[in-house]
Amino acid sequence: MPLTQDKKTDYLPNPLIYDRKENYFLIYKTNIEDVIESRPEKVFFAEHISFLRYNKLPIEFSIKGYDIKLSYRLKHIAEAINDSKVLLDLEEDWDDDGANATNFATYKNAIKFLVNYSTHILDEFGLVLKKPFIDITRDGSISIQWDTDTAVFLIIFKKNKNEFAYYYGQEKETNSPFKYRVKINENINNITAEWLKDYLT
Amino acid sequence: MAERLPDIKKGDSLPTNDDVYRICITTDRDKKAENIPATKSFTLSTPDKDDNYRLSVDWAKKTTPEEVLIREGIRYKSNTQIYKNYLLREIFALNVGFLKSLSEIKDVIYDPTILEKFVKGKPDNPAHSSVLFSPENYEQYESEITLKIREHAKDKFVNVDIETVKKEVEKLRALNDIVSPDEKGPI
Repeated sequence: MPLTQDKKTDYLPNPLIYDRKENYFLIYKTNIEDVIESRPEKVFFAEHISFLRYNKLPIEFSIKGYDIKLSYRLKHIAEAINDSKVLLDLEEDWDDDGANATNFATYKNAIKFLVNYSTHILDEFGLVLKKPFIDITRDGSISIQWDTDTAVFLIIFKKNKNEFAYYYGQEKETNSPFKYRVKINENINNITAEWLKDYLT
Repeated sequence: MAERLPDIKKGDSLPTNDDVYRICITTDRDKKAENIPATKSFTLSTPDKDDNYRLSVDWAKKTTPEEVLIREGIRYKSNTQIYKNYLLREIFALNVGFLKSLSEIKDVIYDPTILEKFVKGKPDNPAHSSVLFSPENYEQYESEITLKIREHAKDKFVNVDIETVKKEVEKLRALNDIVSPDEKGPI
């Protein structure tokens, strides 16, 4: 029996879940590892559903033994992190002009911030943080930067400093500034999370 | 008729209407990111901080963008005898008045580097200038000032005739290799 779009969510057995926001099913046949991507207007038959499973598995990977786990909805965050691994390979004087290398502890502080906040914003508000650019600064600190249609934001995790990371954000329409700091070991700072949620999702 | 340069000596503040050029490193990774110049180019390295929190720039009135890159091409990487890769560089202009309007910047001064004798890999730079940052609380204001400078520089990319630069760098590197240490160098 064909499923109507309205009934799909109710009809599909857990963990096959229709993603309303993304408006499509990402499914695969578990027995043959064959990935099938289908639009909701396509017809599914009940007998097929029994061996289809929604691909909402978390993304898990590791950088130098530091395990990272992100929701499948945060794939672009995982990509930004993966793309930034090259920063760990930069040596002293990487800009030919006296710039310093970073170290893993500093890098980890930055990545932890990104994982924690993107996960918190998704879990608490159902919103997805946009893709940032993770970079190094010339003294070997690590920065995370967003530049979206609505705002810019830059936070710098200083090399060998484990107390605070200072940031500056600015909303583009009104040029309203937002500056504060986060404690490195604090899980979530609500003021910071609110601003990120409001302007960078 | 050549423009008459203001009578400015080493250490003097540059005029607010003038521009300075900042050389920004631009790798493939930077190019993939939107809104270059890469923010990192406006941050201070540890040697910059040890040198009184100064960021190197060139006074646009005293040089051309091509000369900026040519000097970069015949300069050695620090503590080596290997030339810098000048092809990974882009130039952005910064207005002196804008820089001075930022409360964390103390001044933008003329700071030419002229050596007594020719030193291979260390060309003179008569246009060199310095943006002087306030050392107090640099860590706390670094994000804000870096982002503001980057926003300002975003639309001030300076075009360079790279073919002219390449030819000149090649020529000067060859000359550098045959010049006697006691002689004055080619640039």
